Amino acid sequence: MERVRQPNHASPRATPVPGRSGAGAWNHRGCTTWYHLDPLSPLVIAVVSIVQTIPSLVFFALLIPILGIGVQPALIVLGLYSLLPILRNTYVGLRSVDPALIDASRGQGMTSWEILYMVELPLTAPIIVAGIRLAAIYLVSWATIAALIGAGGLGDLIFSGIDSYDTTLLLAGAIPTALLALVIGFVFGRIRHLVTPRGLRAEVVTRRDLRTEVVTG
Amino acid sequence: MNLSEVGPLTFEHLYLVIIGTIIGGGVGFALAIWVRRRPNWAAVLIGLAEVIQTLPGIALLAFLLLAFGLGDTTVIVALGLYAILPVLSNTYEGLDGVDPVYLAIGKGMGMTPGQIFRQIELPLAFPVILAGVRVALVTSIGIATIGVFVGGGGLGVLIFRGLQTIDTQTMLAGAIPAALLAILIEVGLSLWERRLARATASKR
Repeated sequence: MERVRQPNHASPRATPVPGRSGAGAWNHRGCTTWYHLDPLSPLVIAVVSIVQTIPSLVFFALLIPILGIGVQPALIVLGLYSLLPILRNTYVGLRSVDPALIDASRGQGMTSWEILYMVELPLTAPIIVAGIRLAAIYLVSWATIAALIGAGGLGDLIFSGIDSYDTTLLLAGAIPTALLALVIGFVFGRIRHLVTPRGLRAEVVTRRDLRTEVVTG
Repeated sequence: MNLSEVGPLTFEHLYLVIIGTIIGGGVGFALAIWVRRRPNWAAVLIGLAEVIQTLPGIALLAFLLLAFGLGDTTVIVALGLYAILPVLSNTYEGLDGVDPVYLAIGKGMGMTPGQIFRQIELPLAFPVILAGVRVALVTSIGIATIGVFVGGGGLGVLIFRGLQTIDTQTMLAGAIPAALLAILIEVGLSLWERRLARATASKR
């Protein structure tokens, strides 16, 4: 694997991406599209990664005093949480696009927007879908926990099964929950395959690109 | 609300997390070593571990409850199961990413396969393995909080009690330390990884 030295003059936030050579890759990329330009983006991503480590039950507990209980607060928490992996993967994906391709596109006279939706987004689509897949899997898990704050769902069966030590009730909740997560994971896995540009399908998408950072219960 | 409970429960929480991660991480590491020259097995095992990872925490705890009963054992087994994938896949990937040139150099210097593994491959793969351990630890902190529903200890006890009695203070007394634990481990190990990665990069 090719390793790149950190160029001394580059911003300390600009981490070299393996497989890409040339000093000043950051500066070079910096003039393509807005998400490269924004100096806040590494900070936003760092904050997002940190927020994402907060466990589900803890997240609910922290927000109940503000939002109260019921279906609506649960939906707000789930919505907020699903933003995180999607935002993160989209950002990481867009940054991983080879700058040579962007250069080539610009050389052909494409505008920044054209580069974004004709080159960068198609190349990033599998990674974005991987983020959506992750978010969907997390939410199955979080929605189960949301039963605790009165949001209903399969979690109700699991928790009353545990409370009354009723195996049937427990399994009636746990089996569909597990299947739901597996089916959602499988379906989004297929979608990821479908949105992968045909030219890239033969190429093995490295696990590092799709690596899930954290799965919280 | 008794604040003096927070300390011991935090330690209990960390204890569960560390034991679970050591067991699961050990299994993951051993499996990675075993499958590294067997790519077909690697795909199968990583796929299986991924299925486990996809299962929602509370569902897995519910299944394990039937096998292991109420108590910390169930929680530790669940934490161990969740720790397998990150350590397994990162160890495999980390060892896979070591430049074969270094292995050839080691061999040329007369190193035995054991020495090459311990002195070249493992140190070079270490930052990636560490990332796996970090993910395992942070995941475990989350699963351990919901371990309270199957009779486990730790900070989940306070959160659960607070939820049941609608006592915000007790809830936060459990939630804030748990969130801090996860964040501290994430940030601390990420910084360590970055330093290690920089060290290995500049040595090359």
